[in-house]
Amino acid sequence: MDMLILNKHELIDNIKSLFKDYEIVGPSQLDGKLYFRPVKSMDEVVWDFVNPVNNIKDFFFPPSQVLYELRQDRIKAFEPDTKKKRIILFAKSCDTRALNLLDKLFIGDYKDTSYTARRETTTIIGLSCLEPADRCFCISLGGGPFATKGMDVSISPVRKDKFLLHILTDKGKDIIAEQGTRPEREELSLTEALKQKAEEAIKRKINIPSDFFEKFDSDYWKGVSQACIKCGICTYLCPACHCFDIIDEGYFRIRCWDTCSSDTFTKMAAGEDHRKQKYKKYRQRIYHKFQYYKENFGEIACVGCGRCTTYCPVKMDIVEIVNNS
Amino acid sequence: MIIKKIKTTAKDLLTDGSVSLIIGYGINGPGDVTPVFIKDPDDVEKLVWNDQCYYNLIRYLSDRDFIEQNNGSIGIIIKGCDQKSLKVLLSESQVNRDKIKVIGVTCKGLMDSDGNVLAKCEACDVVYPDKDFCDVIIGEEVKKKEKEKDFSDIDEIDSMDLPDRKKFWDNFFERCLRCYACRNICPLCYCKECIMDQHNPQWVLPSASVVGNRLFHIVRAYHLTGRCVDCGECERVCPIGMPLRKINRKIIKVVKERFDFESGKDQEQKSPLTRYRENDSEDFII
Amino acid sequence: MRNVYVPVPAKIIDIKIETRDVKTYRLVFEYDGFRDDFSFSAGQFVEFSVPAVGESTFCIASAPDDKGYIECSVKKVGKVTEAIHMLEVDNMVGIRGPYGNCFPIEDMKDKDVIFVGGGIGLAPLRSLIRQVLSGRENFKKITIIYGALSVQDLVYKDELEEWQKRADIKTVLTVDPGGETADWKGRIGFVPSVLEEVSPSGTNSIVITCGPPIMIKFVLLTLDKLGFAPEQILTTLEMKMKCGIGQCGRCNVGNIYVCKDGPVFTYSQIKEFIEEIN
Repeated sequence: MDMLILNKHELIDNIKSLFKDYEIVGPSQLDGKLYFRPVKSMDEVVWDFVNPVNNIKDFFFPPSQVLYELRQDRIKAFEPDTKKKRIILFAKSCDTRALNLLDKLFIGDYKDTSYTARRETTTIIGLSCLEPADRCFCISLGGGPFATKGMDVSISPVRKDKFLLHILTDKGKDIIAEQGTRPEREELSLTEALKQKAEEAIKRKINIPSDFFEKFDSDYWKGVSQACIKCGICTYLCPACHCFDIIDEGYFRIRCWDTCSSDTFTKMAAGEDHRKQKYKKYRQRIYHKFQYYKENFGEIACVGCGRCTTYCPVKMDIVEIVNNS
Repeated sequence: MIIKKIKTTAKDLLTDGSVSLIIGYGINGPGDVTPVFIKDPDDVEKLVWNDQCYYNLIRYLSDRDFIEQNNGSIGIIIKGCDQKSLKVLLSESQVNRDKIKVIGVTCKGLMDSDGNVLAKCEACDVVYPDKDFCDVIIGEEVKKKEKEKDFSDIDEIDSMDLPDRKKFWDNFFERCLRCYACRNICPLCYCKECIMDQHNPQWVLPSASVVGNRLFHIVRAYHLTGRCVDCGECERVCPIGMPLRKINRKIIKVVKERFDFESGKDQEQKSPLTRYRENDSEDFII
Repeated sequence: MRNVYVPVPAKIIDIKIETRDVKTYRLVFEYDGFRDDFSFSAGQFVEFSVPAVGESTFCIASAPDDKGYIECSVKKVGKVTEAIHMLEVDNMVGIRGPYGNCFPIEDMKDKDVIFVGGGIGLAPLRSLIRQVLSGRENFKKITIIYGALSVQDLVYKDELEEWQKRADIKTVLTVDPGGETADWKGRIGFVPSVLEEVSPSGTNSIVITCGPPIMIKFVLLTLDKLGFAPEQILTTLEMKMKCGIGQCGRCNVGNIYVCKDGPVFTYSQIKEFIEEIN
């Protein structure tokens, strides 16, 4: 679709005009950490950043949500309030690609109404990664710092204060005003050069061994999972992890994130647990991502954002663990 | 050099069979320090020692499943601060002292990724682990500095009025993901089944929401009262940066003031909440 | 678009006490349309909700032909099942489903059908047995081998008696040693050994088994000894489930979601991941 060249102030003005009709979510600092969170003005938005702590899945599949209220005499469904549409600003390609992965599950054989409604009413403006972090490995999983999959509009820098906008969908068209200039060859090549530089900066690669599937029963998993403390950081911060629990809090039935590493995940009421040992839990996470999801949905459920490695309390490195398996 | 001595000590202990496993610090793929578990004497080359050795490895000694799988003697590398948690575990009969070899290492303080000394290290009073407690000591002896505990940051929060204090904490409780990293990294959180995981009855709301999160952190603090040694691991691992040490240090302060007790100093001493003394302060009982 | 997680209200119209810890609930859907349209196949399950307590997974124990109501047998083991046991007739619960695959009844036609059940494991088999019996002429020999810990732990006692009376089915009941009473007329012994004694033929036959994991484990060994091929053996798996629609991830084993791709599997399918679930 369309490509535009905009100055930074033109871009800012365009986004500013959207605050009236949209809830804007963007990367913003809070207590010294960066999060995707609702912002009131463009002043709160950070432009140069690598991956924030959370990822944009939170706005489609939140940490906890009320599904319905259930009483003896009534059942009342809660659907997300999507009257005010939402724009997610400056999403990175890894996070947006993960949404495409989640779509396959949540908008699959059984449609998840709240996820679908949020997907339909959210417009995503992506921002290319100029300086990927040293824990990034998106390229080896089919992504890239300038990839645009899952975005409605993508923004890539041309030079200081000048940006190339790709309008990729109708939703994107709705929010970007007719303005700016058409890109010239020189501008395109400047962006291309930045893209190459960013791609070269990504040194880490995940290489799934050809006999990965056969390694399932290997003692290797016992060894590499020893340090794991069975917390939920890797799964909760992962843009592609999607396991959840359904629980009752009072009369409200809640869907909340859950993690395969927890002791309660597969434990049944009578106490049996087929995945009691830590290495089985850890192995499940790895195989679910790199084997089962691929078999069921055609793609690996990892986008290479590196959050799990960065935030792991004991610094278990998924790349190393998969590559050496 | 310290690392050389760590390696030879580890190698000797593994070779002569006095331990079957060494828990120490190593390096992962991207170059971060990570816990390593060494069984083969030739693997001691994997051990490292630097100012990024944050982990309180004692955590693995209170992990029942871990001990079950490694039932031989274990050699463990500790810093002075880690030693305190081990002493608490000993006082609570959670660790069989005869089955562990403690390799104490002098620590000059840990640095965060920006090169700043960790706050807990600034207040450190155990740079040099106890000679009579460790089986092996590595590093030069540093004279013990009895530092007066500085609780000014706690006083600051205490001086806030209630609504402000609530606002301060709710700011974090709203974001807590209940990933339980703080609980799971803690060497003193070793309950066989955590109350947070019990659902019949459901004591605490399990989803990540402010009501349940408040209660979770209050319960966590209560369960660590008279026990927490301020190793700071919970705060280090928290993905949202909740200042958990402020909660822990508040209870440390209260226990110090009311019972004149500091946990982790002496493994023979029981925590005030697990013993009775006639002169215990009881002004909180109405 | 309907929210898949929202249950439909159902009223308990009858509660039957089966054993000291099992009760069977007969449920009628409140919405007329839903009541008439609700259909399922033997082997499928529902998510059963108790307000302010939670949701739990139960197979439908009534037959697909039992129109107008469904039945679930509930063994008291945890939070939700305890709450269900407290419910009374006329109480409302929530039901969503039916979910999962079903027993391949077409493949069973013109074959000997052998049911091997243990304890509460008879519940999913009962649905199928009732369906098979209502079209009795389509099947060859029918054998039901069912056992429980003790006489008191046998479920569906009235039906067991009925089945025993019928000449066109062979019904063998057993209780574990020590579980018999003075007037017990059935066998004494564990289900796998009784199966071996009964020794059904592996030619042109199909076995459907459900029961505690330890029973299944030995039933499989016995069937192997009797010459049954893994493809001839069907079982229905129990696993912790929450969503029932293959999304929440907890019943995922290998690339299979037990709730969506199962719960009915042939032994040859399960062989792939039996190590992991044992």
